[in-house]
Amino acid sequence: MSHVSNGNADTTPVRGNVKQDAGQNADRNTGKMLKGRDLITTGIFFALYFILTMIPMFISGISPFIWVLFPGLAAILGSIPFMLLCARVQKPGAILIMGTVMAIFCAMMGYFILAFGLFFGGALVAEAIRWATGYRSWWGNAVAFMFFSLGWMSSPLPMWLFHDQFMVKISGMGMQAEYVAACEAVAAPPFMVLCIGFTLVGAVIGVFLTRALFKKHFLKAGLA
Amino acid sequence: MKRKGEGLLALDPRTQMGLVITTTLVAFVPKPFWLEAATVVWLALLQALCGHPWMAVGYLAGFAAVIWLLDYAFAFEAAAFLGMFAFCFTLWRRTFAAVMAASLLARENSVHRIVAAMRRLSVPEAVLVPFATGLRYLPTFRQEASHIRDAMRLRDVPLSEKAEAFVVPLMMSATTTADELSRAAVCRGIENPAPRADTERLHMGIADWAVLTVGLAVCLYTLFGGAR
Repeated sequence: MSHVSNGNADTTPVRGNVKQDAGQNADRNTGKMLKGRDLITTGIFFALYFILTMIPMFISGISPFIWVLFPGLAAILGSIPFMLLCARVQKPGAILIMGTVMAIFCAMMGYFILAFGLFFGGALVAEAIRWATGYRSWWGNAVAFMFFSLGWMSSPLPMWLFHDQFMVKISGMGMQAEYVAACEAVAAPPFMVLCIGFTLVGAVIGVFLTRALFKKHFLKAGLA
Repeated sequence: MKRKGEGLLALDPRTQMGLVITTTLVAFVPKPFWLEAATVVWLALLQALCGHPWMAVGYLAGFAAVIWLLDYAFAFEAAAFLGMFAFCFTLWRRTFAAVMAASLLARENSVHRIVAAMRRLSVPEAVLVPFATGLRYLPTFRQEASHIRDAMRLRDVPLSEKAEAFVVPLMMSATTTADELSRAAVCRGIENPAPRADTERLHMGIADWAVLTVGLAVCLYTLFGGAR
């Protein structure tokens, strides 16, 4: 591996394990317990994850089809802060805490039970995967993110869980037949499968995009 | 931030959190219109009594507008051009009461006060610190985003590179902020295991218990009382 800094070679290659970097900001404490600095880092990257994943939510209200795709779009954008957090806090609990705080925020927006179930449950599974892969594995963190990103399914899930009431409501509003048919189509179970699938695909896309950003910027800057 | 006591009611933040929980629990439970409207009116009354009359008026007007759009305007094609937002309006209607309760909590209390209330409710420090940090970072994000957008405008970044040119400096700035904040927090004793002194005077009075009782009664009636 070449260590000459040129346009094509990395001085800090990204392999299965994120390399410990002695750069200016890579002062990660890789002990077992979360410390104050780890909690603050978790809080800031939680805020970034929340903001970036809210961007596709604003456009998802335009059409039920876009709403079905919202968790996948959120996963593409949310992968960057998530993977950065995993790289900076390689200890048990960070992702579980992030999932818990996300659940609290989503609960305040009206998705109480679903948010707690999906974000907290997804974070638990993600934490278990990170534990099993030793917290330093890029691909371990990537798989963990795939489960974590299922948390935003708490947004469109009522469309399938409360299908009957939703269709009665839409039909009673006097909407155009084409619109009602579109809502009926989207509220069908296959679209829930599509939602889950696109969320996982979005997480994979996001992870690969983030990996490219890591190689191009973050590792050279000493952030990870 | 408004000081307590400027309204007729001064609710404890734990009461307001309880209202948020009870309204979100029943957000997606089908309920008759009279119950939905009564809940909104009761929350608006609370907002007014807590010293936020214009907030109450705004939310009542907003609810009326959403109801008119969903139940009348779309039916008579009076607002057909908004039809593509029907889905969005339906969601807003479902979460309207929860948003009202959360707005009251956010307007009445500082982050410090909310965190103190959560600490009284025995929420672990491991959750409180990231929660408080995230809440306090949200306004900072707007500033950072504004600076980055200005820098992008100066450099005339092409459209194809705008996303990368925005996200990368944002992440780097956030990481630097996290490092600085954590050093400052460590200096100020964030890792001190001793319990923190209670600088907020939190107290649950008769009004708090009455409001909580009403909120819980509405929630239970919606869930189990045959309100559907």
